Amino acid sequence: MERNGLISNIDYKKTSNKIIYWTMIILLIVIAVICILPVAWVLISSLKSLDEFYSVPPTIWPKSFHFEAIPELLSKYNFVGFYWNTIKLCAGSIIFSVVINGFMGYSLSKMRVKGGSIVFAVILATYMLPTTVCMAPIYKTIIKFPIIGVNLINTNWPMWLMAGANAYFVILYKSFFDNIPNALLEATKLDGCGDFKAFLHVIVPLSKPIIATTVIMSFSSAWGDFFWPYMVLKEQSVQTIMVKIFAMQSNSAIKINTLLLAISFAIIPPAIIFIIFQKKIMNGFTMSGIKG
Amino acid sequence: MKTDIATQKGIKNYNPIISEKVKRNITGWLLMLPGCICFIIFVIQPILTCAYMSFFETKGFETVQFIGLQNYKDVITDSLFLKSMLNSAKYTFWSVVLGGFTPLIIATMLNEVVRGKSFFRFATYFPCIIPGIVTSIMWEILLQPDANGFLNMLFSKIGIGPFQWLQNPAMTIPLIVITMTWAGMGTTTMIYLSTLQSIDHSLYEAAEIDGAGFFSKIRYVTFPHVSGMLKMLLLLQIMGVFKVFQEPLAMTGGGPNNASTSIMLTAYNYAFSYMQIGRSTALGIVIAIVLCGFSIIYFKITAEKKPR
Repeated sequence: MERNGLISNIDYKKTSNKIIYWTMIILLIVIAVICILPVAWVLISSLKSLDEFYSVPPTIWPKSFHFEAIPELLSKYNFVGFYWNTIKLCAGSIIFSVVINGFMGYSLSKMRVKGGSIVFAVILATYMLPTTVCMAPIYKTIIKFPIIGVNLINTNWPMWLMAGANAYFVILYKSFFDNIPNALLEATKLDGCGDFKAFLHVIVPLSKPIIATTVIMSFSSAWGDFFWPYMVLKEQSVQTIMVKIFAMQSNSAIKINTLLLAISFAIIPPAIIFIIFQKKIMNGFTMSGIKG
Repeated sequence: MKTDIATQKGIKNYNPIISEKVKRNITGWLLMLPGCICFIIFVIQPILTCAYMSFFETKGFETVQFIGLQNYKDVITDSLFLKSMLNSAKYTFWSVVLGGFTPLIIATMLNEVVRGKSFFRFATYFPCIIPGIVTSIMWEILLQPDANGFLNMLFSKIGIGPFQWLQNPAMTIPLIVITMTWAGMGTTTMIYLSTLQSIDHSLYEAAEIDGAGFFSKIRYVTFPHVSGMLKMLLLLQIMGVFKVFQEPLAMTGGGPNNASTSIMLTAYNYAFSYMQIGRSTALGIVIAIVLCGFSIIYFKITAEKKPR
C-alpha cells in the first residue's frame, strides 16, 4: 500500500484525510460511469428490437438481443465494403504519415542540409493551422490537382497526401532523432557502413518505439477522419464508415437501432486496438509531452 | 617515386570534405522531398491561394475581378459573422469553465488512488478512443428530446424532464462543449498525470513536516509545478475550441436558428452552401491571423518553460 500522492501513509490516519480520500474515490467512480455508461448503452441498445426501443416505459437492459441484425448490417448496408474502404484509407495514411514525416524529421535532424532550418521554421509556423482554415482552396486543389490537372474526387489520394504533411509528426521525429547521438552514426561510418545501411541497421531499430506510437496515432486519426473523406468520397462504393454513418444519421429512413449498430461497428475496432496497445499509447504521452 | 606523386595527385583531386557535404545535402533533400511536396500542395499553397482569392470577386472556384477589401467588408458587416463570432466566444467561455480545470482535478484525484488505479485511468481515457464524428452523432442520439432519449430516460427515473437539450438555443453551446470535454479530457488528464508524477515526493514530505494539510499542499506544492503546463494546455484548448467545426456540423448543423454556428462553420457555409468562395477565403484569413496570434503566445510560453 504505497501512497504516492498528496496523502501520505501517516496523513491517511487522520479522519479528515480519510474523508477526502473516499470522497475522491466516489467522484472517480462517478466519472468512470459517465465515461463508460453512454458507450455501453449504445452497444447494448444496438441489439434491441425497434419495438422495444420505443416501448413505454423505456428499458435500460434489453429483454431480448437481436443478433441477426449484425449480418443484415454487414450485407444489406454493405458494411463489409465500408470496412474495406476504411482499411485502405488507414493503411495508406499510416504509410504516408510515418514514412514521409519520418524521413523528413531524420533529414532535418541528422543530415544538416542547407536550408533545413528554413524548412523547419515554415513547418513550425503552419503547425497550428488546421486544414479546414483554407478549405475552399484545398477543395479547389482536389478537384483540379496542380500541374497534372486531374480530379481526385472519389480517391483516397487527398487524405493520403494530407497525412504526408503532418507537422506534429515531423516535430516529434526530429526531436526523437535529435536525442540519438551523432557519435553513433559516425561510428557506423568508420565501420564501413554506408548511409543507407546505417539508417536501416542502426536508426530504424532504435526508432521502434516512436514508429509504434506514430503508427497507432495515425491509425486512430485516419480511422476517425471525417471532414475530408466526407468532402472527397462522394460515391457509395468508396465511402468510409464515418462518412456512411453521417449519411445514415441524416437519412430518416434508417431505423435508430440500425444506426446504433453502425456506430458500434465504428467504435469496436479502435477499442480493440486500444486494449491491445494500451501501454504503448499511454507511453506516447510521456514521449511526446503534448498532443497537438 | 612515381606512385607517390600519383597518390598525391589523387588526394588533390579527391576533396573528401566538399564531396561528402554535397552528397549529404543531396540525400538530405531527397529524403525531405516527398514531405516538402505534401506540405507545399496541401498546406502552403492553399494558404497563399486563400490570401490571393480573398481580394477577388469569385465565380465558382475561379477568380473574376480584383475588388480589394470588399470581401472582408462584406464578411464583417454580415450579421451571420457577428453571430458566429459571438458564438465562438461563447464556446470558448464554456470550454474554459467546464473543461479547463476538470482534467487537472481528475488527474490530481487519479494520482491519489491506491487501488484500481489502472481501471480509473482506462475509464477516463476511454472516450478518447472513439472517433470524433461518432462521439458527436452518439451524443446527438443520447440527447434526443423525446422520452426515449437516453438522458431523458435517466432523468425520468428521478421524475424530471423531458428536456429539449440541443433544441433549446440557450443550452446548445454548453451541451456541445460538454460532449467535447467528455471526448477530449482523457488526453489532457494523462498529460497532467505524468506531470504530477514527476513532482519530487520529498517536497510533499517537507511540506508535511511544516504542518501543511491536504489543501495547502495543493496550493503551495502541486499548483506551482503544474501551472506552466496549465497555461499551455489552456491556450491549446482555447485554440482548439476557437476552430470548432465538426461538432456543431454533425450535432446541430449550426441550429437551432444559428444558435450554435461557429466561425469555422460559417466559413464552410459561405464556401459550400452559398458558393461565396471569396467571402469564405476572407474569413479563413481572419481565422488564420487569430490562430497565428495564439500560436505566437503559445510558443512564447513553451520557450519560457524550457529553461527550467
